[in-house]
Amino acid sequence: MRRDRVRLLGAAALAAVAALGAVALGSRSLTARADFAFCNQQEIQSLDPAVTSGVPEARILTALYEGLVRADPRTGAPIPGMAESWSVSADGLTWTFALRGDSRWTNGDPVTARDFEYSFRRVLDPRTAAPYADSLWCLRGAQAFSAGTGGAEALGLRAPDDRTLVLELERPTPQLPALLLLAPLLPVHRGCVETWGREWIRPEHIVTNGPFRLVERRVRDRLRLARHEGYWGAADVALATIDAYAADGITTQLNMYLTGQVDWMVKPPTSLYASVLARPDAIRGPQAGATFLRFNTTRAPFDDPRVRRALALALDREALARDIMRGGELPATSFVPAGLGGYVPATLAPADADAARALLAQAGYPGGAGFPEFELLYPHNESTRDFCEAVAAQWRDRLGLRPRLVNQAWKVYLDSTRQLAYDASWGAWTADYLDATSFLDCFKSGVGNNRTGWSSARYDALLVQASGQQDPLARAALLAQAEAVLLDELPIAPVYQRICLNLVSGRVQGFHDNVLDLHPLRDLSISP
Amino acid sequence: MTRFVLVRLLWVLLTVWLVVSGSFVLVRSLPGGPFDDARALDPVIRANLAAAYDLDAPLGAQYLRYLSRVARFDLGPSLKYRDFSVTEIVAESLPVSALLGSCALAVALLVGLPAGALAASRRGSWVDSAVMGAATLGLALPNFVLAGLLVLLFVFHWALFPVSGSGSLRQLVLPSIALGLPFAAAIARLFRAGLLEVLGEDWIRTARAKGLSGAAVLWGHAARPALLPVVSFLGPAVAGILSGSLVVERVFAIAGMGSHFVESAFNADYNLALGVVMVYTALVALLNLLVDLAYGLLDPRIEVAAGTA
Repeated sequence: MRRDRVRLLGAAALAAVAALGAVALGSRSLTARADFAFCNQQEIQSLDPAVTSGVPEARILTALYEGLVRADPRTGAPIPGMAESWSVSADGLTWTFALRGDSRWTNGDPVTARDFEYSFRRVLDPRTAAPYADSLWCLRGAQAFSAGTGGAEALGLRAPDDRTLVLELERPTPQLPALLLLAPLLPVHRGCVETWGREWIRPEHIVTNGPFRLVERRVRDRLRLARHEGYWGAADVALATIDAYAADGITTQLNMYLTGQVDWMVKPPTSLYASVLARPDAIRGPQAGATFLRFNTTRAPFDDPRVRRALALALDREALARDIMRGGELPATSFVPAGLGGYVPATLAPADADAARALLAQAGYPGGAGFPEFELLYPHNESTRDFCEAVAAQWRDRLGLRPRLVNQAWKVYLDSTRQLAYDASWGAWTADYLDATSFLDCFKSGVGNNRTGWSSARYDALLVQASGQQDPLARAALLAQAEAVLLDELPIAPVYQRICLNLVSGRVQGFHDNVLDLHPLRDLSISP
Repeated sequence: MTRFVLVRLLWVLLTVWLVVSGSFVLVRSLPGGPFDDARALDPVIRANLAAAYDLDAPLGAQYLRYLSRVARFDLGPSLKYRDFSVTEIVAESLPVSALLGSCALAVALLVGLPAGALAASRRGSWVDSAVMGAATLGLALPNFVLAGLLVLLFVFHWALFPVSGSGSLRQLVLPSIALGLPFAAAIARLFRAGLLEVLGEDWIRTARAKGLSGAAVLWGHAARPALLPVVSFLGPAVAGILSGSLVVERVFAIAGMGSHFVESAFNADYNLALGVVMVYTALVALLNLLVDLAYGLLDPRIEVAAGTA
């Protein structure tokens, strides 16, 4: 009797497993491989552009939606998208965008200037809580609206007719077209958002205006996109279907690439550089990104510019880039990398251990004597650890200092640096848009990205002056002057320029290396 | 019996509440918040986000509001995956983990039980040493090494299985083995030990004396009581195996619940972290209850209803 019950229990368990299996398999329709498949690193935060902030998100969103401008696949520079053309008033304060009349949303509605008026207002709305809302704070009344102290009617944002969008700015912002490439500023369909509320991003509801539409979403597995025929440039879009895989593990991504499951993977593991870099399908180039060391200028002895200068001068940037990073990173000669539009960066003094020792002695620490033991903080990860160990060794050997390595989880590290709870730290910055201000704005007094406590009235003034300057050359010169102030005071010591590294199957065409590492899916094709 | 189950269910509720409250305190005392990003947020935007996600009230008020939401089976929105509520994420990922876990469990039982029986029946022979040696190795080998070896052999060397993903049976084979084998090793050792103990009992000698064959004695008489240690091991183990494995899910890019346990903490996704801990706690507690009930079925000497609640 009891044994029968055991058997019954066993049989029931087996049946449950089988049923579960059938359900799980049945609910996941199996689709054939898409024209083009790639590893998009991780599951995206959202399909609603306004609430996103990351790079994997931007890859998908710029395929599903198109903004006023889109990225040139060769350079990453802004070129006409939903706006055919634009003009700016003589004072630099009024921008007028002329929209195309021939592009449609996936539900058949025409894309109009009112869509952008609605979407920009939505990004700025405090209730949307968009992390990138401040990228539109150049609009008149925008910051007050985001802070809840100003109304929407005061916004410098108008659509006089379906094909004209007028943006009125608080201050001249010559980099506006580059800013408009940011994924959070992509347009959304008002009717869809207002009808479905939180549910509007579901595959069965979502309405988009870009070169592709969403076909299927399997959370943390893949997104299936298909060409959107109502898109104005549909004739130029070569790929009919795309699969974007979410796979957290970097080795797993590499395995997927090596077995042909995907045609593109971003940033293969640094531990495999030796074999990966020699591959013909490794596409590599400099990135608009800098890695540097950050000093807490509110703490002694790092409040002394001579100390910071000594620490910067002591670094053999060449050796750190070549022997430690090993991916073809360029030793820094400035903070803002060369190659951003017409910007010519200021120059960072070359490494000089003798001068470093002399400066340290001047500051009262001859041969490192009396210099307190200090912490070098880095976010936990193999490559930053190797880098910081090498930096610490150089400071120890060349200056006689006693740095101690401390690592923290990423979010904790961000919190510590934001709260200035560190002595010296690893730091990195990658440009959001193609302009020197994407770097230089980080070190304005009191802004969140500063993370050093450093502030310079002259630096701030130069940036303000530059933003009022209409002539691009004069503006670039003012920005370079600001950078010179930064490189003289050195709240950070730039070490190397980061690289873009992609593995791209030989059958993919139209994939170009560029400093923003932007590779619009609309411009890719597969060789027959 | 009914009373026993009801009382135990109350204890399950109490356990879940205690664990969730403890986790709430822990997760909220971590430095670094959900809105700390490489690009620092302006204070205005940070405040808007905190308001949007109900994180701007005093912690005590947030805790009470959280509990009242949980009581209504609403685990709140994910702070990282903005398109989904925690309930939706669990509903999406738990079945994936459970399916993989069931297959792994099948592997564990189908390999572990016969291996343990074989070792016990040939006690002291080279077969016993070989099986127990393999089991020790299986326990010692971390599953990321095992998963890596499987990928190397069956994906790259012999291209028999796809490298990743979930959705088809073929994609389940390697992860099930990687997840199941260490459990098979544990089961083999426990079952062998259980059998050896039982096989020494008088009533087994009686069964032998009646002229029953070795196999009949083993499977017909000794197996059931010898399963007791295996069953008590399986309770918590099944909860672990069904709710997913960080490593195996990561290596094979499977969208299960295992990775949420670690990732949600790193992402400071408070609601998701609490949600998965809650689901896991409930699973462990319920499976332990099932184990206690199974004892009564396996060994008539154990009277469940009289057991302490």
